[in-house]
Amino acid sequence: MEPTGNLQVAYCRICGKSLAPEEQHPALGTIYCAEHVPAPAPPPPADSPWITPATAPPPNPNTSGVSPGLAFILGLIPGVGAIYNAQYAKGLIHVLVFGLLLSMANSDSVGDLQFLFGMLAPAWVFYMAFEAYHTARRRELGQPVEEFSSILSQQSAGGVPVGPILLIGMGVVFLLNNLGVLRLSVIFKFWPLALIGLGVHMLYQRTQERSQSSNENVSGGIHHER
Amino acid sequence: MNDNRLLIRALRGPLTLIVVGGLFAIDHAGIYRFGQTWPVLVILIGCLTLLERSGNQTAGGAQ
Repeated sequence: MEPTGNLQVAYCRICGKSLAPEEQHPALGTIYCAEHVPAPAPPPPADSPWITPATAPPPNPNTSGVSPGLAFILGLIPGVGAIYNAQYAKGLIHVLVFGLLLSMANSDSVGDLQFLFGMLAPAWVFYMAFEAYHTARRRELGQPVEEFSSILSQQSAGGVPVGPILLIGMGVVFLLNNLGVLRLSVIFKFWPLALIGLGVHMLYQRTQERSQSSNENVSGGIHHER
Repeated sequence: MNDNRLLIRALRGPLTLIVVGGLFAIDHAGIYRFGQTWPVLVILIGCLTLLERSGNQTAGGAQ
């Protein structure tokens, strides 16, 4: 590979070939090489079941081979539903969240909230199952599916990326707990503050929305997708 | 497709591997257990996603 100064190399999801910027074909939230890009290219032969279903043309959706029912059943196993839908990163996140919920339900540091996390864990199992079902449904109909669809909305509220900030915040909290700097039990004493914060945030958003819609009648409503 | 997004996307795998390796090295050196340092991975993923998204926004937002 010739040195190009900057590192704009990506790899095809299917064959793993490294691709220069001009031969990258972004599709479905990842990158493919010219011969494996799903949408325009004809489906590759036989042994790659992952990309044909996602882009099966709408007229004959039943040829795609994606079964929402199977996705639902597999979705009951943490992460496997997303893996079935070829959303590997999402599957990993599903497993991480499930594991976190279980450890929280099991740890003494959350105090009275153990019960809450104990209830959230099974709820999360069903969320994963239904999420896999709906994603498989969309793939069956030939609609494009983003890698992180429906975990957190891509267009986050007010342009603030909620998902990453939440991840970083959680990471910092758990790191501080594990290193013994700031125990989770101390933080969880103040958990009602989260409700207050959420309320204040919603209040702020509503007032923003209102002032916006009064300023410009047309575009105020579509700013937040609610 | 924006250059920054591609760059970060290309860096994501190697960086994660390096950090996982580093954490296990620290574990084996007996400084901190991996059970203590794993949130670093969560922070890393969050930072990369944040960077990727901000690169997305400056380019005008393809998605």
